[in-house]
Amino acid sequence: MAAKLRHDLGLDKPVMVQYFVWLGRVFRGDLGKSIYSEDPVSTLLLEKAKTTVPLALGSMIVGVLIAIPVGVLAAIYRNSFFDHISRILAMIGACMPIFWLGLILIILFAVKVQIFPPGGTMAEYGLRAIVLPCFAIGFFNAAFITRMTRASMLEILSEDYIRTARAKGVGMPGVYLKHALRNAMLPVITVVGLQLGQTLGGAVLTETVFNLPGIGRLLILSVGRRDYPVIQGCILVVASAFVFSNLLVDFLYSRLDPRVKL
Amino acid sequence: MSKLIKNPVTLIGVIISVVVIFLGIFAPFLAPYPFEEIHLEDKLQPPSKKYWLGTDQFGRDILSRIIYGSRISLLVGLGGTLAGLGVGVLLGSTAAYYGKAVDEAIMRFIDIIMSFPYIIIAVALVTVFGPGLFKLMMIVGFLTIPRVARITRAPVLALKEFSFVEAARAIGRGDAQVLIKHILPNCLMVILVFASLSAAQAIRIEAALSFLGLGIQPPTPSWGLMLANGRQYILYATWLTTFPGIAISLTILGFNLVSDGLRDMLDPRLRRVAK
Repeated sequence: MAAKLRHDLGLDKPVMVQYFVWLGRVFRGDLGKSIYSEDPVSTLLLEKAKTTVPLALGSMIVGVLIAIPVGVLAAIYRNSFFDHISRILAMIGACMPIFWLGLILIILFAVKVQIFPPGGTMAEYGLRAIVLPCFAIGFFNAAFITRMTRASMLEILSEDYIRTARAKGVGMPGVYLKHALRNAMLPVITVVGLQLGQTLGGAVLTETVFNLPGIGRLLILSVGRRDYPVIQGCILVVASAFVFSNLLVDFLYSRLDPRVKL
Repeated sequence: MSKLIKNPVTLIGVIISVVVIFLGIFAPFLAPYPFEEIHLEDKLQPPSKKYWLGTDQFGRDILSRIIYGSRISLLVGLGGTLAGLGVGVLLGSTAAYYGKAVDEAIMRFIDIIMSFPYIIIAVALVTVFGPGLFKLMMIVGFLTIPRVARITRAPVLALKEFSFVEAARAIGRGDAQVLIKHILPNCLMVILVFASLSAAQAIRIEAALSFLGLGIQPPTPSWGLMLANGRQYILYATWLTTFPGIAISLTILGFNLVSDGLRDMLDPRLRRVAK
């Protein structure tokens, strides 16, 4: 019976043959069936993606909205009180585990001051369900993006063309936003793209903390259940998203800097 | 060393790291209670004179479990980093020294591993090999290899063109001898900078995996596991999650600050190597 099952599942074939059979199915959109629920893996992933995609996008938006203004201001007002505080907060954000930050946010905003739910689905609470998780991951991302934005702005602000722009009488907002920020964004975009990988990893942890039914939580539950088709499907989706985001970063880079050719 | 501790921020990092290492080594002498000792009559007590950081759902002293938990974090963090360093340095230096096809093959393999978020690889490896302390150290070591290989490759690429390397070859030294005795000692500080950063990352990975239930298993005290267990009591026993989280954050901060300090100290030397 075991031998028959192994044959039916194709497990008696060499590993490389099994891999290419699986790959062929993936290209046809067939990721197999869950051993636990017998649902098609692709259906499960599409359903869970409705939570993970808004979470990932929301986290990146929160991270960028915090990091870029703070990084720019920290560079403009270098060595000021604001600069020191922002650097300390960035260091703390980078060191704080995402899952612990999530738990702190639950204590502060869902237990002490009950503004947001401590967990639950978007179907129950709408966008409020992902505000705290987005902020947890976003704050972590912001720590890295802030440091890169500040360093990049400082380098650009010391360039000759910035001095020329000031000498020509361009107003400070124009100098910073039109001349400095655009050029400073190039390395920042690279970091933002790389942070997407951290976001996807952070989603695994954050979905567990907030009990969100996303791809990350599905992956962890499947590991416990030894549901290998689902594990393979989740890892494939997350890794593909990471590679795609890196390609997107390369494309944006080539658009922002005419000297860069793909 | 004196330059390192003259920087106040780095000094803070050194103090934190030394304290954590001290706690780990002398845990049995410093912890007020054994980590597994249960006091059911005192379960879920808030911080008090008897239990400085409170007790958990089994009446176990949180402070004692945090002190013993530092051992796990250090074992996985430092042990895993050392394992990854060994293989990573070997791969990176070999790729840089021989170049061409060897370099391409090794670096493409490294790129494949680095194209996955680390937590995904860690989860996949735990799925295959199962949880446990030693396996966790090996997984952390595996995740360290790609970055160490890249960090090692850069200075070796530069150093292999120096005349002292040519001189060593001229007097008949083999490739392995040239790498180990002449090139790698000059890369040591660069690798050391990365090692401390890597240790911080390793501690983060261990805590994350233990939090997900895929790392250290109970009753062994792990800071990540303590956070996971404290989640269900978060409404009325916030100390169960607060103190282990502070321990993880401070430890990661300490190693990061040491790494930053070492890097700042080495900058002029890195410029000389690049020339």
